[in-house]
Amino acid sequence: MAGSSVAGMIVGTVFIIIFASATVTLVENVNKAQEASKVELPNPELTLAYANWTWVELDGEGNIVYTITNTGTETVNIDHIFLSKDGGEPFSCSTLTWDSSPATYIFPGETIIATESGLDAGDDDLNDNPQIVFLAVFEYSLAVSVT
Amino acid sequence: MGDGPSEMIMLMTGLIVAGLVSAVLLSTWDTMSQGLESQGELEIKDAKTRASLISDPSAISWDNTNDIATIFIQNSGTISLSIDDTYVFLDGNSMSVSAVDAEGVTWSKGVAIKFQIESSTDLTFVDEEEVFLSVGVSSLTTSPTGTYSLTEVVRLDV
Repeated sequence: MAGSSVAGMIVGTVFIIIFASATVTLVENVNKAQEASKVELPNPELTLAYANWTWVELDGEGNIVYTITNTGTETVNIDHIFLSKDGGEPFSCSTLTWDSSPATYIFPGETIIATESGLDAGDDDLNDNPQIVFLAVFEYSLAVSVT
Repeated sequence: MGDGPSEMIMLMTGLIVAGLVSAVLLSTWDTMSQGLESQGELEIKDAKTRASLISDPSAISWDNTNDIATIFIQNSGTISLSIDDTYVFLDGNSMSVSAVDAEGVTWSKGVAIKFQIESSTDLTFVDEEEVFLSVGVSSLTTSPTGTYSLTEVVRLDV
């Protein structure tokens, strides 16, 4: 009987250890699965309030002045903001001339004005008197009419 | 003393059975644990892998003669993406994808890559036709490889 008891005790102990380790591993894996939902992706929110076209007769070229406001809660790197005119190739906002220098980031609530100059007046390419400007930054995008 | 040998047999039998059962269960659990761990790591990698179309979807230029379009994709995730592993479907058609001016570029967070997409079969669209554009990207690091795909309706400017 003593041998049976010892055997039963060993078997029971082994099973307890197995289920205990199984529970610990299960909890660890559940925690790891929750980490996936905690991944914070960029979530910027900007407003392109105005895109104003002006023709400078003296220089024989047009300018567009962009007024961009960070209406979200994240600071946005200007390098990551892209604009395109009338479906043309997007270009980074960092290529524009900003009213405040050096402007690298737009902080929440901040409004920055940028100028794109040297645009033609004729009707022979995309830079001519554009009608719509499309802004994209990560998964946020919007379009405004050029005034 | 009369019970000695039978008790010893019972003890040994118990130990052997317990050893065999525990070995099988531990092995099975180890496999399950590794599987769950890999799945968790893959989910985290997938969550960090993102991309977005930054070309104006209302005016994607399409060349009916050469069956070519150009799109810009931005890395909107938190880890670097593999430029070479990008795939694109336009209106359900598999496109060959080649990055433009991307030699030596690391496709890190926020970086936009210009892709020229070309169909090997003749595709003819009419101006302002609206089609589905699907783009798939993979993380630069592997083991595991994070993947993400996006599908958007785009209007073609032919």
